[in-house]
Amino acid sequence: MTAERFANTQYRLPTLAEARRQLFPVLKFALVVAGGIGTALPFVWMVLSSFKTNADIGRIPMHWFPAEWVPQNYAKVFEIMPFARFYLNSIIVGVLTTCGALLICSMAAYAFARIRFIGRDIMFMLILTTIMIPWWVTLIPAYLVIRQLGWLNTYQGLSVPGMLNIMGIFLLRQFFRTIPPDIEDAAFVDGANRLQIYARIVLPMAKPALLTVGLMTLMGSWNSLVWPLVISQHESMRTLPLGLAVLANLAGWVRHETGALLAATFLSILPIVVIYMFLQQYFIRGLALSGLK
Amino acid sequence: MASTAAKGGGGLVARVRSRIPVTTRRDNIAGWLFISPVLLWILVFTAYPLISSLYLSFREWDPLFTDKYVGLANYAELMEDKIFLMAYRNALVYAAITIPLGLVWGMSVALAVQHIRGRAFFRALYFLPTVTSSVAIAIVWSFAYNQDYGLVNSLLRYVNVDGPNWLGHTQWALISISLVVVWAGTGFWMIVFLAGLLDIPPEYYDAAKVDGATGWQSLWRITLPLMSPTIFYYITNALITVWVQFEIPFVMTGGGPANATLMPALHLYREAWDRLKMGYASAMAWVMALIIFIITALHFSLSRRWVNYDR
Repeated sequence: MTAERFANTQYRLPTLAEARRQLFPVLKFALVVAGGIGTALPFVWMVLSSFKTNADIGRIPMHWFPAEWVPQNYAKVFEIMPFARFYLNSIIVGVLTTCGALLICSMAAYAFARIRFIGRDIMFMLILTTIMIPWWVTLIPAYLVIRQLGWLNTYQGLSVPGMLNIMGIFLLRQFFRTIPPDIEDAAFVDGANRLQIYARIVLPMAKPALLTVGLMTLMGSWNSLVWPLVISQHESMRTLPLGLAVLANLAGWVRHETGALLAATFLSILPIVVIYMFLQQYFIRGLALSGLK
Repeated sequence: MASTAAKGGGGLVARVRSRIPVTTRRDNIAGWLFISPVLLWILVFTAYPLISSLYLSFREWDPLFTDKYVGLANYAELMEDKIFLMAYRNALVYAAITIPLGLVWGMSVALAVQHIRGRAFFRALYFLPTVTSSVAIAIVWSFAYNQDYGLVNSLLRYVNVDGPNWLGHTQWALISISLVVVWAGTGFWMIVFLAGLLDIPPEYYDAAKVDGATGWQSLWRITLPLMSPTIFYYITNALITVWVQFEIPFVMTGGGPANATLMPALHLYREAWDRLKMGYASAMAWVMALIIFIITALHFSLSRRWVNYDR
């Protein structure tokens, strides 16, 4: 059987159209792989170099792997800057901002989705249009407000303004509208009030949406530079991006402690990257939704 | 007979009534109470600052000593400020590099990754820079651009090209920064483009194939026209982010060499916090706002005419 089939097969060169059809998927795959490598390489270089001595990092030509693996960079991180303090600051600001944002945004979103009140639609439109205000325009007076409140160099100064997440209000409202109103009606009949329904029924049902908005807020807070830059004038109140940015700008320091700077950079992105690896779809959904109209 | 008529009448009344929002006192109070925290935030951190910055832009103002009404003098001064104009020129060059490159590259990757095995893996990998802080990206890339031991020139050396001093040379610094921004944004836009591609009904491609269209023809006649809302959204968004770009130049070059990478937002920050010219910087902020408002308005008016929403 097999032999017969072989015998019937005519060997000939593929036509141009066939060649193109076979070649094209290969080219596409090559493009994606090349781009993927390009995306990964700077990260790979960062991690590998954080285990090199400073002389090893500056070696010409560049070597990928450390000549000798030196984990000491990771200890040095804590000696040359108050790295633990920066980390703690980032965690405190991130948690405060995220919790506050989830509270105030979900409350507003619930009202816009479910409660009928005078002026609701106008207020919703007004709030949405504030997205279009570029925040560099409001930055100077917002800083002056914080200064007036005596909140410079404080956790509340760093976190309170970031609790306003308009996109979060919008996403949560969309989600709340999908919850069947019958459930609320039943609770009303049982004598529950608005606050109880919001806190005991609607919020627990909205966990995926809250997680999406929470992650977006946390990531925004964890990665932000400009607001901490203007609010934290004391070194002890710097967050991770600010602490690293300030040190990276001191050129002499960079030349001498490259390995430690790279180790610190790696440690600074680690929490978000780990969360991202486990909760990828929430990140992608949140950011893609905020990217689409 | 009579009962059906009554029912029909009742239906009409109910329908009319359902159009008029029925609000109760309780709901009015509850509703406003629920949105009051957000309103407070908007008042304090958006509405008041918006008005205040317009006010400041007409004054010579710093937080300690100076407060003087100067009319439009700040705006007039801006038009003759060589550094300000330099920052805007840089922004235009940056836009001319990042916007087309980001579109072509992001779209290519989205198209290529669409039907590939391991799509989820590649999508996750490309998205990694989006979740990484711009500061970390800027730090890693400022090493990658090092003339001697940097990643970029080391890779170029494999193909016997002697790379320049990317960040130290006025001719290359802005290009280098723009490339980092494209690199960092690819994953995000790939996801957005992929979402747009998935919305295109596969029957269109089947029909085109039956009619003998090549893949190349399908791309230009089906995919790209149907992707026009997404592409248009990308362009508007990219045009807006040009003016607010701060972190990458701040960390990588500090605006140098010789202001070659000075961007509008970085210049604004310098004037406001390094030189404490907050009135002048507020005028800069309003020029920036005006440009962004115009881009947004153009987006809304043009999208009706140019974009193909026919799905």
